[in-house]
Amino acid sequence: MRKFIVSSLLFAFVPLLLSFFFLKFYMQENIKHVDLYDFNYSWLEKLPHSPKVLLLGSSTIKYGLNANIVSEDLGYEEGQVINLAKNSRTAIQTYQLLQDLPQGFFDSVSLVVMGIDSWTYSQKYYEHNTVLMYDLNPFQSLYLRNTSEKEITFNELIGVPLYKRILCDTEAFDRELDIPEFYGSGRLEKKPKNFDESVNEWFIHNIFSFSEIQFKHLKEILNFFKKRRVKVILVNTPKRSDWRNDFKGNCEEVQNDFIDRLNEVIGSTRYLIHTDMVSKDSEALFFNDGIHFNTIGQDWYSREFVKGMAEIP
Amino acid sequence: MLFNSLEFALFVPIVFALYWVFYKSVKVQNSILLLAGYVFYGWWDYRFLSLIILSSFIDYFVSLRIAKVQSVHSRKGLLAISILFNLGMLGFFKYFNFFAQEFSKAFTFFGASIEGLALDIILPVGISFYTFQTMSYTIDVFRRKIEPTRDIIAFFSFVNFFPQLVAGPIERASHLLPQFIRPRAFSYQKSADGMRQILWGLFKKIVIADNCAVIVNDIFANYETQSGSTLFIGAIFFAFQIYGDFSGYSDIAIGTSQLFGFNLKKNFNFPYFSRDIAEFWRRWHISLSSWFKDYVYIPLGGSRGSRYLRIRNTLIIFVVSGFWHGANWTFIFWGLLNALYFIPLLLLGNNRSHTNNVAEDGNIPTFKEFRQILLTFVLTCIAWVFFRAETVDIAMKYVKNIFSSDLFTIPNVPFFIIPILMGFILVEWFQRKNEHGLVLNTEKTSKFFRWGIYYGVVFLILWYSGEPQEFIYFKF
Repeated sequence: MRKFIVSSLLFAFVPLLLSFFFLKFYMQENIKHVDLYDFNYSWLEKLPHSPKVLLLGSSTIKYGLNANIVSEDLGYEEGQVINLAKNSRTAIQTYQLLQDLPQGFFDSVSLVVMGIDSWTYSQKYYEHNTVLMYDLNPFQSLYLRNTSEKEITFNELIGVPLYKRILCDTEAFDRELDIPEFYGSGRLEKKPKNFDESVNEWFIHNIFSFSEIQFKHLKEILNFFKKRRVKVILVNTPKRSDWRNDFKGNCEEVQNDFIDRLNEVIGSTRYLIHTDMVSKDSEALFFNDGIHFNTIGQDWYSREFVKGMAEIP
Repeated sequence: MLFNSLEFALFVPIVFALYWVFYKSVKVQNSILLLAGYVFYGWWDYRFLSLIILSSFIDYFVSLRIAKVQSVHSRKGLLAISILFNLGMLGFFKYFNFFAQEFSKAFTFFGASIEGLALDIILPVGISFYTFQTMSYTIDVFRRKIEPTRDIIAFFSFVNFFPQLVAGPIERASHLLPQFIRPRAFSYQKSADGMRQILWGLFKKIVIADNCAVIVNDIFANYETQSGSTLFIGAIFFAFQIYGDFSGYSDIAIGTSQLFGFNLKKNFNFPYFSRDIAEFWRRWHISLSSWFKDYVYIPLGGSRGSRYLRIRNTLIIFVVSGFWHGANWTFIFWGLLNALYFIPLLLLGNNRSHTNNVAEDGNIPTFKEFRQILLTFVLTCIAWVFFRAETVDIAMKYVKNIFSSDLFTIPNVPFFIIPILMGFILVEWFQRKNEHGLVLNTEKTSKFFRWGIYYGVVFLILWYSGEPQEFIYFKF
């Protein structure tokens, strides 16, 4: 029995060790490839003017700010405000994106607006990005795989990113894309699929803590722009009152933990909390769900956002 | 819980450790296996545990009663209770909607209309396997081939033995149940070989079956626009998909059982090297074929009697076997087609011509053997089209389109899979006299060499892991 256990452990040790390092490096490396495969930025090469303002973050920014309106209200030419936010995009992916874009692209940028939503910094959020799951321990991974709406298998964790990567290297960068109508901003008309559960389900904080590597990458993003002397504003976009109540009732401790961690990272970076900005009377008109604006809400918030910016010293 | 999942990779070591800690007590070991079986099965859907528990209860008590009573009439009545319950459960969950639809169609044909007969029910995983296993126990007790066990934990563990619970091999009580009753000693050789067989099974499933599945799904979904050569290759790939899938599952099941000190019967014996259809059926899904032979074919008269009776019995056995696979006319046609392949051999008395291994004394088959293997494989592939297609009509069109003018053009399939399949066939060929594809002589080969091979297989599994697919036989 002892011989069998020792032999089995010894046999498993080499691939486990290799896969540990392999997965760490391979999957970290893979993030940008998968991301770029899913969302090609070849249209940035066709911009009519040099960009001045970049909008970064996840879906709350993608659907929250209309690049054309922000551009117009700030007095820029159309196309000088670019929305690079994407659904489920984490700080790691945002950082990879900044690394992947031609570095000369940032020469003309003077302002970056980045969405900060606490749940995107939770390890639970990895269910939307399987390539990040290398950061979980096996029990968290198992739990996530069994509770996620989308079943994630071991093959998907390794095989699919590999498959996508092979595809990426040969196909993704060859695709020519035209400039999108709203310079990267999305217009949300339907309710997103993944947001039906109560907000504390987004964290399950006793099993999935906040992700250290997300905060590390946020810090790297801030350093990236600091070196280039680009002003960064972090923003928490408006949320609907029922969602806010749910969040306050269920996630107070989680939020305090988040704020503590955030403060350690952002230093003196300006952080705008617009969560309560929409009055209860206007909610039905503006929101598509608890956290995402519809097209009317997006246009309204884009103008309000620029007005608010004018008051920042 | 799928064999090719992280859950299973964690589940087995936990059960293994617990199980061998209590190596001195068979009862505790059996209880651990029983609990593990319920967790394994309940992982998929705990509600259906009630069916398997009920089936175990009925067969346990009915068998004890059968052994006690002397009256043939009473014994037959008791056996009928077991068979009716098991087949009734199987019939309800698996065949009710099929018969309801056919009934409805028949009425429509005569101008009447019946609607709402179909029920919204899902098929419990592995129901066809465990019902057959428990039925064989009761029938064997009835035939006085075995004594019923009084050890309820051992019996329940036998029915719920997780490695073979949902997709076989379908074990006979005479072979497996005694292993639950006697003490089991840990064997290094047996466990190490079990691990090798698990690895080989994973290779078959993840590399061969899952990669073929992606191509096969695409070809079958667009069969109307594909060339004859592509359709032909699609049928061949499906042959490898279903073989890799099902025999891979059996390998993992047998290997896992060995870790717990059990021996399961071989379920696949390199069937694609068969020289005729009769040999193919002695090598493919052996546990099911022998089940039907012992409990249906021989009671019908087997190959005794007139020519008419032999043809009738062969037709029945193949059609029933096809229907066992699923409630669809495609499976019935698949069975029928195999019967048509088999009957000429039976009538000419050639159905037992090839009972040994091909190229028994070496590794090079004769030209005749090669021709026979090729012909048998092509016939099998054509039959597999009926197994895979959604309707008989589609299968017919698919086969018709194979034999079109572009049969000899270059097929439109990704070629990365070809070297993998060629390598797989070669390994299987050289290992055809062994238990599985990863048997290595531990005395003649160095550990360094063997581990190199194992790591190579692990690497291939990781590198070529295709889109994950469920095991096909879970549906049955």
